[in-house]
Parts: sequence; structure tokens; C-alpha cells
Amino acid sequence: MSDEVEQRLKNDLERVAAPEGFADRVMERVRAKEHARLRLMPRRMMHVWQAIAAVALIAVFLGGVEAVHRRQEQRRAEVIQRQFEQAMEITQRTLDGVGERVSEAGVKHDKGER
Amino acid sequence: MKARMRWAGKGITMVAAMLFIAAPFQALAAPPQQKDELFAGAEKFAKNAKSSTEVNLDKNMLGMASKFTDDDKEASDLTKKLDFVIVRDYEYDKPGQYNMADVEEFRNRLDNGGWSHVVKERSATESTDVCMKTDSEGVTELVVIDAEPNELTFVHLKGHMSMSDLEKAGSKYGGSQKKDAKLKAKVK
Repeated sequence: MSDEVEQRLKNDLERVAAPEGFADRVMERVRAKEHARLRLMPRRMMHVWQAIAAVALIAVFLGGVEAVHRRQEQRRAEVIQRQFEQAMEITQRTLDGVGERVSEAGVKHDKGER
Repeated sequence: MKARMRWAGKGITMVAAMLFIAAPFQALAAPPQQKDELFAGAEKFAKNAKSSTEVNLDKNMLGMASKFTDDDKEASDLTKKLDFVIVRDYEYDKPGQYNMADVEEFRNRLDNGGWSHVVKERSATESTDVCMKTDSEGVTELVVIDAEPNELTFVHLKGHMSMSDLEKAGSKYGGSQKKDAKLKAKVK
């Protein structure tokens, strides 16, 4: 009985040689995977760099637009301020003139009453 | 179906990107000028004028100006108080370069609209109208039409203001300091 078991174990655990070229095929597959991984990594990195470049470009563009906008707004405000100053000067000059004439009319009226 | 969805998505992204890029330029476009029915058509007086000044400033523009007059408190205060400033000033080389009857047309516009006449002066060669609207807090609107032989001036200011505000701003910007007690008393 024990001989039979022993014999079966011997048969089952007998060393079997690997098929011919097995090691080469395994190594080839490992190399292929390694190569694929090396090829994939830079492409992914390229996308990241493209995205960073695009964001930087948009930021520079928007920054430029904002700077131009701010400069134009400042120029416009200066023009408006000059117009406001002119308007106030004309208003004041006109009111002064009106005031003078009203005063003169008042003096004439007072003299007439006397 | 998936391809169509993808194209639609790309289209939406493109439109959004264009709107995003165009938005700052939209702000550069000049806003429309303040319209004034009282002085509509006054440009005709510029025809024979030696020099003409036309100022149209609305609330937004005054707000913009106030940003740059912050260090000048009096001017900044007035720009913040006013809703609009409309001034037309025409100077002529010699008398008779404009038709007084045309000015009358503008004066007549002040007969309606709840204006109270503070000054109404008429002579053979000159005429002056100072009208205003007031509320419990003071002057809310001021109109001046001053027709002199060599100069014609239209002023329309709207906003809560006092004469001292105008005087301060006027003297600040080169107006003379002559004061008229009667006018000031009436206005206050």
C-alpha cells in the first residue's frame, strides 16, 4: 500500500524539463511589456505638459488683455475727468455771470426805489 | 450617436472658449452716452461757433472719474453725488451768430416738468434761465440756459447737490470765486 503511494508520489513529483525556448519566450514577453511601459510614460507626460503650456498661454493672453483693458480704462477715466472739470468750470463761470447780472439788477432796482 | 455627441461637446467647448476670450473685449466697448431730452438738438448752435464744448457724462462715467479724484475729496464727492452732467457751450466771434428764437424753443421745454425758475432774465441781447428741482434734501436737478451775444451755454446737472458743492468744484477747476448772495440764498 505504502509502496503504491510512494510510487505515485514519485511519478507526480518527477522533474519535468521546460519546453524548448520557454525561458526565451518569457524573457521576450517581459522585455515587450517593459518597452510598452517606457513608450506610454512619455506620451502621458506629454499630455500633462501640453495642458500646462495651454493654461500658461491662456493665462498670459488673459493677463495681456486685462492689462490693455486697465490702461484703456485709465485713459478713458482721465478724459472723463478732464471733461468733468471743463463742465464744472463752465457751470461755475455761467452761474457767476448770472449772479453778477442778478446783483447788478438788484442794485439798479434798489437805486430806482430810492 | 456617440460621434455626434462628441462633436456637440466640442462645439459647446469652442463657443464657451470664444465667449471667455471675447468677454474682456466686450468691456472695452464704449457705453452709450447719456440722453437728454431738454437739450436734444442743441448741436445746431455749433454751426457758426468759434469754439464749442459738449460734455455728456452719465453715472457710470462719473463713477469712473471719481476713482481718479479720490485724493481730491471735493471733486470726488460731487462726482459721486451727480447722476449726470450735460454741458453745451458755444462761443462766437461776433453777436448774431445764432438765432434767439431757436434758444426760446429750449426755454419753452422748461415750462413743463415741475421746474421752478430761480432766475429768469431777459434783455434785448441777453437772456438767462436758471431752473431747478428740489426735494426735502436740497437740489436734485439744475438747468442753466445762458444766452449772451457771443456765448451760448446750456447746463443740465442731475443729482443731490448744493450750490457750495458746485462752487467748490468750480473754483477748483478754474471758475472765478465771485459770489452772489441772492442766488446762493435762493438755491440753498
